[in-house]
Amino acid sequence: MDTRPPLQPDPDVDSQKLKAARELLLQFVKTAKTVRLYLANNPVHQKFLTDLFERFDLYLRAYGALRLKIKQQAFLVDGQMIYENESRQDNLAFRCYVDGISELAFHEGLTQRELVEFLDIMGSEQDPALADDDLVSLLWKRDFPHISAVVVDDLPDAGILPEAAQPKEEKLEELVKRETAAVELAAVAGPKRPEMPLTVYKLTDEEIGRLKEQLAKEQQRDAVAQLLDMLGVMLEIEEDPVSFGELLDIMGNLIGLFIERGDLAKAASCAEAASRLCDHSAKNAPAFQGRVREFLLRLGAPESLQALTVAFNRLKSIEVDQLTRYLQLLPPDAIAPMTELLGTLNSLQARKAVCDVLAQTARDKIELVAGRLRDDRWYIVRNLIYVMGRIGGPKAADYLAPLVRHSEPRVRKELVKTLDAMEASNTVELLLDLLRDRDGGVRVMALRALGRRKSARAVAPLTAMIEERQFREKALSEKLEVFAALAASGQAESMAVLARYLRGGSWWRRAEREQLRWCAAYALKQMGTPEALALLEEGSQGRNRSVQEACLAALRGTARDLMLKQARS
Amino acid sequence: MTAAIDQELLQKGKAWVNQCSILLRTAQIHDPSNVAFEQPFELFQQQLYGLQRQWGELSLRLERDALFLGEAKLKMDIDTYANFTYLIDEMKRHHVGLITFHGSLRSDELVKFVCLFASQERKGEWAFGEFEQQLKRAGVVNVAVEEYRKDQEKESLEEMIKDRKGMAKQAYAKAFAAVSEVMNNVKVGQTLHLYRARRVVQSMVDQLLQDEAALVGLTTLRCHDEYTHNHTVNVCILAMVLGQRLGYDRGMLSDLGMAALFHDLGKASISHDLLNKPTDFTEEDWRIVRRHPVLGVKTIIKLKGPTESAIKISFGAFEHHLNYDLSGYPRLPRPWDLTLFGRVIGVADCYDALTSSRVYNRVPYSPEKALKFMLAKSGKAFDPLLLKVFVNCLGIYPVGTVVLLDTGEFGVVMKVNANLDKADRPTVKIIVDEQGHAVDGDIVELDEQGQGEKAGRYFRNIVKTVDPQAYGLDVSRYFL
Repeated sequence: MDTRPPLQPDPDVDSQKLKAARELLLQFVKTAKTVRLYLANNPVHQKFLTDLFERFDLYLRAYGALRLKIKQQAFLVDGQMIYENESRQDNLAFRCYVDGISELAFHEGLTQRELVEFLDIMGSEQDPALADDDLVSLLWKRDFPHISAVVVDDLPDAGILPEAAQPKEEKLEELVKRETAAVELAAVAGPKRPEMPLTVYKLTDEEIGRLKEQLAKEQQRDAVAQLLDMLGVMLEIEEDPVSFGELLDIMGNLIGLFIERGDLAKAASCAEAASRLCDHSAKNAPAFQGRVREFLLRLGAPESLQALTVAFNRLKSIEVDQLTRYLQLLPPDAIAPMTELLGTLNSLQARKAVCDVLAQTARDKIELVAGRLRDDRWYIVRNLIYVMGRIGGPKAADYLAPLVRHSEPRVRKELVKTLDAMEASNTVELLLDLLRDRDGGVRVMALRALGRRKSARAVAPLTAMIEERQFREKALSEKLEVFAALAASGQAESMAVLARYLRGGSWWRRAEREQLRWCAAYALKQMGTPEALALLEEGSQGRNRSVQEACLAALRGTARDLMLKQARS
Repeated sequence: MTAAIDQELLQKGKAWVNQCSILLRTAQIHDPSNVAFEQPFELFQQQLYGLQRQWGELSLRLERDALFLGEAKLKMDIDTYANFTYLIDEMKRHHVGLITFHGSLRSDELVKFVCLFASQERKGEWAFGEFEQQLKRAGVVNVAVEEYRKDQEKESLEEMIKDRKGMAKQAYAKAFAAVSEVMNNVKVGQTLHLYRARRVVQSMVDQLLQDEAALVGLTTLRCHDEYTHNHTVNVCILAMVLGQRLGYDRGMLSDLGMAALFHDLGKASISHDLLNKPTDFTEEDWRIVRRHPVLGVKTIIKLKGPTESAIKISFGAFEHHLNYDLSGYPRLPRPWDLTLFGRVIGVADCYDALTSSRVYNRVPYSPEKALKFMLAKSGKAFDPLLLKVFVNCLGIYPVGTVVLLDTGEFGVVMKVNANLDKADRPTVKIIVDEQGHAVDGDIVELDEQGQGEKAGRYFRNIVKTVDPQAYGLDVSRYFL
């Protein structure tokens, strides 16, 4: 029998142990922060990890397992606090505490790899709406050989299961009497096997291969896509309108969640599943159709689209194609809130996508877009002009007419571009109106657009413009544009006007007349028709020296440059 | 060898043990001079040296029908099952419980060891001593063997069953409580917390990976008042057993367990009176009950959102009555790609339902009758491959089966034989002795054979199975 007095704890050893534990925890916290800041291949990252592992190794060799009791904001070793953090952010103790871990222990033999993976788990920030593995589950899944956790167990386990009944004596007697027959017992004595109730199935290699394939396929399965497919099927087979509505609500919530996460592809899949029901024969009844309509309306509601903007502006990874796919599913009622996206989406490509969808959705509801053309924000109006242009038609041009007087030149420029691309005949009048715009850039754009339009209706106004006193004040480049527009109209009347300016002569305002001659020569060359070129040839060989010079320069293609050079000098 | 075994190394270890089995089979047919021997031997040697470089000394241990590399238990899956059980049998045949490969092992020693181990000549109780002598004579000094002590193992088996029964019972009760909590919360529209259930499932996975028999035994428990809860816990266990055999890792087993535990979540939205109706269901009753898969999906997704676990639970809920050929319910308007979870749960669900005496099915099937019934529907209601694996897991005498032995004793199957060739020789607990008296008898392994004159003859053989219900026997008492 050991008669020695029991060993008393050595206070020096204890205090050394606590000091070492404190330092170790301090290093642990620092390392946890560092590994989050630096990439794994960074030397700082690696140095911190190596240092921490060495400290752990020293501690575990010197004092054995490190057992950390967990309080809400602290770690304790042997009842002594060795780490405390009052903040709930970035607090390792709190993270463990809220997940129900009451003790963490690191045992001798801990490897650096375990430590790295443990730090990864502690540092992981999971989206609670996406992954439901808490810290305990993550630690459990990893099954560290040298790190253990004690978890608070708050589930009752007693008194729930029924007690099994004792077998009754008479029943057992009956069992023995009825079931045992000497003949039967003798029949199976010896090595002979009795007939088996079932057969075991040794799987063939081919069957094992098939099972492995299925297991691999399961790993690749897009679970969310399958869930959406499942909800789609459930909607199709649901016979009760109320339950149908509940399913649509679930779909709506999922869409909201996917949008928040920036997963527009999934949101679009949900919306597609629901919108398919509009054409589904089994869902023709008004009770179902009404609910589908309500659902789609909710998707296009301002607050829903606002959430879409927030996600899109926040996450760079969202593909514009998915935005298009999603918006295309929205009903015309969503046109007004969709136009708001033009004011809130940061990405130019995204706004372009919205415009394209609006053009498609509003094709038969053009008035819904037109109503927004009076918006105070010029940039929205500019985008909507593009949308109207994409829709096209005289009705669109009519709606655009008031914008000729819009205060913002960028809006008017967009208007010219749009009118230029539209085929409706009433757009010529608007372009002619824009020839009087106060912005030279707009006027030039309008001139070019008119030129491309080759409209006879442009000849008289352009000619009148040249005749006007104000024409003299215009820059030469603009004058050339006017003549070019006249020439581009390709009309016989234009030819006659240009011929008149080419040949015209007067001693009065001679320099002006000369400039107009050169402009006309330049325009005739631009016109390029046999008649126009013949006129220039004729002039180049004529007696009038100034006509000759203008025609020769035009024919050589140098008229414009010479004029501009002269104007500059 | 350190206990800290990296998962990657463990995989390499599994591959090596698998190769060991392949090599032994080859060595039983071909001698080392044959080219057919060379290729598997070289691979085996290469893998062994690779493992030794990382682990140093390498030891392979046999303990209760499981192989251990060092301290790490090697998990069997569909791929390795046949080879592992073959190796276990070979080790038992030679009475070898431990083989240690030292670092300085030479190639010629290894060849000799393999050939001696593959030899079919030794049998019976002297096998080990003879084998050890042969190794010495052949100069094999860097492979050490230790004897397999079945008697010690038998004692520890009884203790282990006793210990693990308690743990399994606790886990079962907690799972029951977790299901009850969730189902009640659904009924009253409260927030759904699944973390408790997840913890319980995780603890069940831990037990399953150690020894599934105790947990499987508890599936014989019948709680008529709370059939749904009882049933879902059973389905959870059975599905995880099947998942384990498929080679699922801990995380996947836990996910599968959760999906199985809540596969009937939709029933929380159906009246308790209807579910426990003592008479047959009317058409209208069936119409309502058949809505539970859809109700389950709605409930879980509505309350938890599309989290990974909720989605997996929803698959189990939606698909468990669909049937392999989609002939079940809900009736679908188009083809559907069933998930593996759904198919596994479908098998486990049907088996437990058939073997239970729920209110509207008062006469439960015996385990083997249930399996026969299911096999008749293989390829229609059930995935034929999964059903085969399931039958193999449960054995031809599933846990809880009452058997009459040729000794006149009656026993309850406690554990199936891991070796498929001996599937008819499970471990049973004697409940009625030769004189016909009820006893708290021994746990005996029916693959035990006699020695000497009785060599090659089994001590006990199964005569037939007996329906415990017919005699009011509640077999769950042997697992509680």
